[in-house]
Amino acid sequence: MKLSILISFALLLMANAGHASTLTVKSGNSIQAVIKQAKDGDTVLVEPGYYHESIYVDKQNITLRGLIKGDQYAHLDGQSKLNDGIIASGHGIIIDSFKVTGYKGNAIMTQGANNFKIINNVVHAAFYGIFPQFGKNGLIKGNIISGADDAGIYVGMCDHIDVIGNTTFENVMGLEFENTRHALMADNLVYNNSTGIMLSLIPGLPVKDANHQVIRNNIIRNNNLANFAPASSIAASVPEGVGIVIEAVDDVILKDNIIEDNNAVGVFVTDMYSFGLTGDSKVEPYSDNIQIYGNQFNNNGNDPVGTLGELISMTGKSGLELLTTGKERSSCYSEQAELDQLGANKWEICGDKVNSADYQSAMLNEPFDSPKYTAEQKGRLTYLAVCTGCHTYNTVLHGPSMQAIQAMYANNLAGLENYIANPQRKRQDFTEMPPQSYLGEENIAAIAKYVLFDLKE
Amino acid sequence: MNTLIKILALALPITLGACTDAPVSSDDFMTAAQQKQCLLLGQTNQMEEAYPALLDEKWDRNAVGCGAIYAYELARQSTFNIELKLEAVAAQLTYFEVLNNAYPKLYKSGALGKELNELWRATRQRASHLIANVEYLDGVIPEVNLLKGAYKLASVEQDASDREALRAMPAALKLIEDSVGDRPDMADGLGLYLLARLKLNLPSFIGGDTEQAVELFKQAITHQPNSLEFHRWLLQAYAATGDVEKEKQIISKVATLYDDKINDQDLADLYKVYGGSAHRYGMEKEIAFYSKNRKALFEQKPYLLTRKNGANRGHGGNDPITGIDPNAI
Repeated sequence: MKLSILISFALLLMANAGHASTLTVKSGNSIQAVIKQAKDGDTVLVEPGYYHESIYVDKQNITLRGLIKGDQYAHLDGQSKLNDGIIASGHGIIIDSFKVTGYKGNAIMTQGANNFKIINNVVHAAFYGIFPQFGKNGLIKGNIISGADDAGIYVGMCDHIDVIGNTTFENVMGLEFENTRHALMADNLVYNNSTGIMLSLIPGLPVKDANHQVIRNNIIRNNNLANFAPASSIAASVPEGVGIVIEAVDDVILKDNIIEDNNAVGVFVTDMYSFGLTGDSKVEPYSDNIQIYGNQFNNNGNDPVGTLGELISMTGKSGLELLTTGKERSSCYSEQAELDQLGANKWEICGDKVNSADYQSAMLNEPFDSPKYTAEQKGRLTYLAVCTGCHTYNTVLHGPSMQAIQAMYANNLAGLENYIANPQRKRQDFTEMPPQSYLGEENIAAIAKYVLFDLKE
Repeated sequence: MNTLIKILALALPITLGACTDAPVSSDDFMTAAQQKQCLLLGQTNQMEEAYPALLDEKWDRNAVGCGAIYAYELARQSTFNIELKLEAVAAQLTYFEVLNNAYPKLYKSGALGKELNELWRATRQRASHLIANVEYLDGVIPEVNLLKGAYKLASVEQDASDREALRAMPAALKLIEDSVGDRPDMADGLGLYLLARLKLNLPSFIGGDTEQAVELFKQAITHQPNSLEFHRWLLQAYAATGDVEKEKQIISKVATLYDDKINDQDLADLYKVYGGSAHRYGMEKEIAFYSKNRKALFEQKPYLLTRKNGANRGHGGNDPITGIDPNAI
C-alpha cells in the first residue's frame, strides 16, 4: 500500500516537473480544446483538415505545429466570419506550418510574446497577415502571405526581429516594420503589393522610435497593386507603385536588394509630416542615417500614380529610383553611376562610410526575458490584440465606440463579460460580433475590467 | 497657424469700400445642426458682441463654429467694411484649425468623421465666398494674399483629394512669398512665420528649405519675441536641420517667456509639445516645468482639451506592459 502511494506520488511529481508532452489534434476536433489541456513546453500537433475556430495561446513555450500530408494542411478557415486565427501571448511560442485563411482581423498574431517563431505558414485574406506586436527576439521565416488589407507581415513595436525568406504578394504592404528597433529583412520575395516594404514610425504609440533596420538581399518587384485597404484605415494612405518606403526611421541600410518595375518610385524616403502624420512631440519625425548601396535598381518610376504620382508630376520628372523629401541627415547612396533621384542632393556617396549595423541576424544570442504577465497586463494586451480591430475609443469603427460600451455596461461587469463571450446582435446597423469565448474566462474578465475601469481616451 | 491668422486680421488697419455681396442661402453655409445651435443668428448687435469671445473657445468646437458663422454673417451684411470681411476669413481659418484637431487621428471614419466633413465643407463655402469678395484688393493690400494663401493651405487639410492638397501648396507658397516680399513686417511677423512653415514642411524639390525656414522663423520672432507658437516651429526647424543644441536652448528659453496673446487651449497644447520635446532629450528640469504648468492650467480650466494621441485604432492607450500613458508629459 505504502509502495503504491509512493509510486503515485513520484508519477505526480514527474508530471508536475514539466516534462514536455506532445498532444495531437485529430481532424475535425477543436484545437483550442487541446491547447487548454496543454502545459507549458508542450507540443500540439494538428492533423491536416479544416478548423473553423479562433485560437488563443497564453502558455509558455508551446509549439503549435500543423502537419502536412501532400498538399493538405492543418487549415484554419475563418470563413470571413471570425476575426482572429491564432493569437499568442505566451513567450517562446512556435507557430509552424499552418494554412490560415478568411479571418477578418489577424491571421496570426503574437501580442507581448518574446522569443517567438512564426515559420512555414501560408496565410491568405486577413486584415493583418502575420502580426507580432510588443515582442522581443523573434523569427518570421518561410511564410507565404497574400491578400492582407494592411501588411502581409507587420512587425509592430518589436525589437530584435528577423524576417527571412518569406514570400508576400497581393497585400497592401508586403512587409512592414513599424516603431521597431534592431530588425532584419533578408532574402524575401516581395511582389505585386501596393507598396513592397514599409519602414515606418507612427506617432502616439508607446514606442517612440524606430531604428537600426537592415533590408538585405530581397527581391522587391512590380509592387503596383491598387490599394484596396478600407478607406477608414491608415493603410488607405499607403502609396501604390513603391518598392520601399522609409518614413521617419533612422539608421536604415538597404543593401544588395533587387528593386525593379515599381511604377511610382523604387525607394521613397520621407519625414512624418510629409506622410501626413502629426501629433507626438516625443517622436523625432525625420529619417536620418539612411544608407543605400549595392542594390540593383531597374525600371522604376515609369508610370507614377496616386498621391506620389501627383507629387512627382509637379516636378516634371519620371523614372525615379530614389525620391526623398530632402530633410534626411547623414545619409548616403552608392548605386549605378547615374541613379535617377530627386531630393537627395544633400546625400553623400556612401564610399567606405557603411554602417556597422550590417548584421547577419538581429536576434539575440540568448532568449530574452519571459516575464509572467499579470491579469491587468493581459487585459490590456488582449484588448489591443482583439478588440481594437473593430472598436475605437470615441468613434464608430465596425462596432460601437468604447465610450458607448462603457456607458451601456457602467454597473454591469458580468454583463459585459457575458456579452464578450457570447455576443448577440443588438443593433442591426452594426456588424455582428463574433464570439470571443476562446479567450477563456480569465482573459475575458481582464478585458472587461480594463474596458470599464481603466480605458480612457 | 490659424490662431495667428486671427491676430493678423485683428491687427489690420483697413476699412475700405467694397462691392456688395450677392444674397445667398444660409443653408449652403452652415449645417442644420449649426442653424439650431447658433441662437444669435439674425441678431446683428448680439452677434457682433459675441463672436470674438466665441472664437477664443477653442476647446468647444460648437462655440467656435458659431463664432465663425456670426463673423461670416456680419461680413456678408456689411457692404464696405473690408476689415470685417478679412476678420471673417480669419474666423473661418480658426474654425478650420479647431475642426482639424477634432478629427480622429489616423482614422477618419464613422459618424464623427461624417459630421466633421459636413462642417468642413460649410466652412470652406463661407471662406471661399468671403475671399471672393475681397480678392480684387490683392494688389493693394498684401494681407489679402496672405489670407488667400493661408486659406488654400487650411482648406485642404481635410475632406480634399491628394491632388487638391498637393496643388494647393505651390499656389499658397507663391501667394505668401509675394505678400511677404511686399511687406516683410506684415502683421507682427505672421507672414514670415507662414512662409517659414511652408519652407519647413514642403519637400525640397517643390520649394522646401529647412535652413531658410530657420532664418525666417528667427526673423518672425524678432516681431513677436514672446510667441510660444513661433518658437515651437523654430524648435521644429532646428530638429529638421539636426541642431540638437539649438533645440535644447529653445526648450529651456521658452520656459522663461510670457506670451500674453496666447489662447488657453493653444497654451495647453504647446506645453505638451515642449514637454514632449524635453522628454526626447531627458531635460528633467524642463519636463517638470511644462508638466507642472500644464497640470495647473487644467486644474484652473478643466474644460480645456487634453488632446490624447490616438494611434492605430486603440493602440494610443496606455502601454500594455507598464500601464503608463506613453504620451503624458
